[in-house]
Amino acid sequence: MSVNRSIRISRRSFLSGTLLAFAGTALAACAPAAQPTVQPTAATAAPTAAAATAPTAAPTTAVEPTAATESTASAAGSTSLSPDALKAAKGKQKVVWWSWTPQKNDSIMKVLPGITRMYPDLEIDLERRNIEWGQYPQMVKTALAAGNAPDIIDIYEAAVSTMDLAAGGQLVDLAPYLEMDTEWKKGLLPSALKSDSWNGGSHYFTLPLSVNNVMVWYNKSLFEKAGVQVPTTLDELKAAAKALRAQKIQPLVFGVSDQWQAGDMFLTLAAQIAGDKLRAADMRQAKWTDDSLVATMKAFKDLLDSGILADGISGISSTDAGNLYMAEKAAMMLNGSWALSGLDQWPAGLFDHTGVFLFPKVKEGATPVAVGDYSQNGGLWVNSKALAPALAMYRFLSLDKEAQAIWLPLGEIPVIPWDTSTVKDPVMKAFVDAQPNAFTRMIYDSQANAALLAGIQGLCEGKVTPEEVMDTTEKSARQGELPFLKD
Amino acid sequence: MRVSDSHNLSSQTTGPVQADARRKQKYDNIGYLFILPVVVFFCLFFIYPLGYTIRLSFYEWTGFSNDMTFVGLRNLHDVFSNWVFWTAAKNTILYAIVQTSLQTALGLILALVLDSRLLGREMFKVLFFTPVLVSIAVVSLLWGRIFEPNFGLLNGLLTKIGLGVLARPWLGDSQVALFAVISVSVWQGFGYSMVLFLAGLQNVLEDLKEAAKIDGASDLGVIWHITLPLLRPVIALVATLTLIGALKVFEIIYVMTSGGPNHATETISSLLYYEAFRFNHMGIASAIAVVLLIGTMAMSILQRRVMERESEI
Repeated sequence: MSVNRSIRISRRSFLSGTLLAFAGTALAACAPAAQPTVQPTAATAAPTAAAATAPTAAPTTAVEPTAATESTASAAGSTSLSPDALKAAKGKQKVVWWSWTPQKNDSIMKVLPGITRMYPDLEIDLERRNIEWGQYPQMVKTALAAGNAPDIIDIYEAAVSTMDLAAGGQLVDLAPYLEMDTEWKKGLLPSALKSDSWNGGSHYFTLPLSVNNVMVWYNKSLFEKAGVQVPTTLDELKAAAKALRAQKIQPLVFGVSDQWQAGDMFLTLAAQIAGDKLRAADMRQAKWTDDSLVATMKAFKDLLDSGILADGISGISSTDAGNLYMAEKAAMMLNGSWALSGLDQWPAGLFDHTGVFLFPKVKEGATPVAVGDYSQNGGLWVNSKALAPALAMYRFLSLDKEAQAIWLPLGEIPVIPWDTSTVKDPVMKAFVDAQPNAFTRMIYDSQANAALLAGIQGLCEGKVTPEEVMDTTEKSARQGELPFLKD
Repeated sequence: MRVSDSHNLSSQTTGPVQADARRKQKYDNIGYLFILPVVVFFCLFFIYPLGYTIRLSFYEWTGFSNDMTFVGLRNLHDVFSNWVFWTAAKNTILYAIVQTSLQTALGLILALVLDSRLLGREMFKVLFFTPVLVSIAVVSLLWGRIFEPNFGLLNGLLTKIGLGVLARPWLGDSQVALFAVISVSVWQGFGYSMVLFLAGLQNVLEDLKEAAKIDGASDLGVIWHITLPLLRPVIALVATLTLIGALKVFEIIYVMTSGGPNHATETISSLLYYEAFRFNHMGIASAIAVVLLIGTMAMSILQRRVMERESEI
C-alpha cells in the first residue's frame, strides 16, 4: 500500500512537467496584461491610415494619435486648477518630487519654508527623491506604468521627454491655469517660458525654475598672443581662426563624438538663419528640408571648411573639448553657463583670463543671440493627488526672488528678470544678460534630433552633404501631427 | 489500472530490491525538490520576460502608458525597412567575427607561451588578466582618452615615431571607429580567453607531447598535432562565449561612441537601447530583441556544428 501512495517522479515526468511550466509561463507572458489596455475603438482596432501606408526608411512608428491619447491629453488640460484652488491649499501638504539633480536639493529645501510669504497657511512636506540620472528614466517610466508616479516629474529630455509624456497624457496641461494666473505668466522671462511652450503658448506641460544658455568661451591670453579681438562677424571669426592656427592654437572646439554640443552649434546658427522655422519643423508644421534649415547646415559646413573648428572635430567629445580648452590648446569653446559650476576642476588662473561672447553674426541682418533652454524643469503628473499644493510650491519657487537666487551659485539663471548689476562675476553676468533674448535650445522630437545629430557627425567627417543630413532628419522625424496640437 | 499494475509489480519484486527502488526514488524526489527553486526562478525571470518580449514585438507601446496597440508584424517591417538596422546588423556581425577571431587567437597564443617555462610567467598571467577585472566604463573612458585626436596618447606616439600621417580622430572616423572599439574589446577580453586555455592545457598529457618529441616532432609540430586537437573543446567554448558576448555588445559602444559617427559603430544592442529608452518604442525594440535572439542562437548553433564536424574529422 505504501508503494501505491508514494509520489513517483521519473526524470521523464519531471522534464515533461518543467517543459509544461515553461510553456505555461511563456503563455502567461503572452496573455493580456492586467492593466487595462486600449479597447479596440475605431481608432485603434486597425492600423491607422498613416500606419497602413508604407513606412519610411527611418525608424519611425508612423502612427497617428489614437483617440485614447487625445482624450487623456485633453482631460489633463481640464483639471480644476485655479489660483483660488492654490490659495485654498492649507496646512501641511505632502508633495513628492522626483529629480535627477541631487546638487540642487539642499538649496531648494533651504528656501522652501519661505513659501509662507506667498501662501501664508501652507506648509509643504517635500519628499524630493534624487535618482541617479542613469536610473532616472526607467524609474519614472516604471512608476508611470504602475500608476504610482510622483506629483512632480523632472524632465530629462534625452529619455523622459516632454513630448512623449505629453503625448501619452501623463502631464497636466498648465496653459488653462496660466491664462488665469497672469501674474505668474507675466512674471517669467518670455525666453525662459518659450522652451516650455507648445504651439505658440497654447500648451504648457512643464514650467522652468531655472534656465541656462550657451555662448562662446574664449581665452583672453591666447587671443592676445595671436593678436585677435573678439569677433563680431563670421569673416572676423575666420580671420581670428587663421591667426590662432598660425600660433599652433586650435580655434573653436566643442564635442561632436557625443553629439550634444554639435547640436548646440547647429542651434546657435539656426537662431540666426532659420529662426522660428526650427520650432515649426520640430512641431511638424514645417519640413526639416526647409531652405532656411538647409542653409543652417550649410553654414555649419562652412565652419568646417574655413578652419574655424578644431582639427579632428568628429572624434572630439564634450569632455575632450573641455580638456583642450583647459590645457590652453584651444582658444574658444562652445559651452553653457552650467560649466561655471565645475570651475574647481579648472587650472588655477585660467578662469581669470576667460571671457564669453555671443557667436558672431553669420549673415547680414541677423542678430547674434545665445541659445538657451530650461535647466530645472518639471511637470505635474496628471493623476497626482496633490496638484494644488504641488503647483503652489512650484509657483513659489519660480516667482519668489529669494527662491530664485539659489540658481546663480549653481551656474544657472533665474527665470524672472534679474538685476545683473548684482551679479559680480563677469562671465555669469554675460550669461544672465544674454538670457532675455536667448533662442530656444531644444528639439523635442527625439527621433529627428537623433538623426540630425548623427548627420552632423557625418558632415564633420565629410561623408554627407548638408542636404542629405536634413533629408534624413525629415525622414526620421515623428510622422503626423501631435495629438495635443490639434486643438 | 496503474494501481493494480503497481500492485502486481510489488508482488513480483523481492523485499530488498523494492526497498532499494524506494530509497532511490526518495533520493531522486529530494533532488528534484532542490532544483525546483531554480526552475521557478528561471521561469519567472527568463521564460516569462522572453515570452513578454515576443508579445511586445507585436504591439506599439511607449513603456509607461496603459495604451498598447496591436500592430501585428508592423514593428518587424519597420525594423527591416530601417537602414540604421542594416548598418547595425552589418557592424554587429563584423564586430563578432573580428573580436572572436582575434580574442581567441591571442588568448590561445599567450596561453601556449605562458604554459612553457618562461621566466616571470606568473606575473604575465596576472598582468594579462588585469584588464578583465576593470569595469567596461573605466576601460572605455581610458581608451577614449588614448584615441583623442589632439592630445591622445596614440596620435602623440605615432607623431613621435614619424608616423604622424597615420594620426586621425580614431573614434570620429567611420573607416576605423568600429575597429578601434573592437581593439579595446579584444584588449579587455583576451586575458579571460587565455585563462580558459591555460586551464584546458592542464588536461593535455605531458606523456603524449614527450612521445611525439621522441618520434621527432618539433615544438611547433607538437602544438599543431597534439596540443591543438586536444584543446579543440576549449577552443569551441571560448569561441562560442566570445561570439555570444560580441553579438550582444553594448556598454563599450554606448560609452565610447554612442553608435557614432553617423551610426558607423551602431550595433543591434545599441540600436535596441535607443529605440527602447530614448524613443520609447518598446514594440520596435522588442522586435529587434527577438531578431537578435534568433541571430545569436543561429550563429551559436552553426558555430557548434562546425566545431563538432571538425573534431569528428
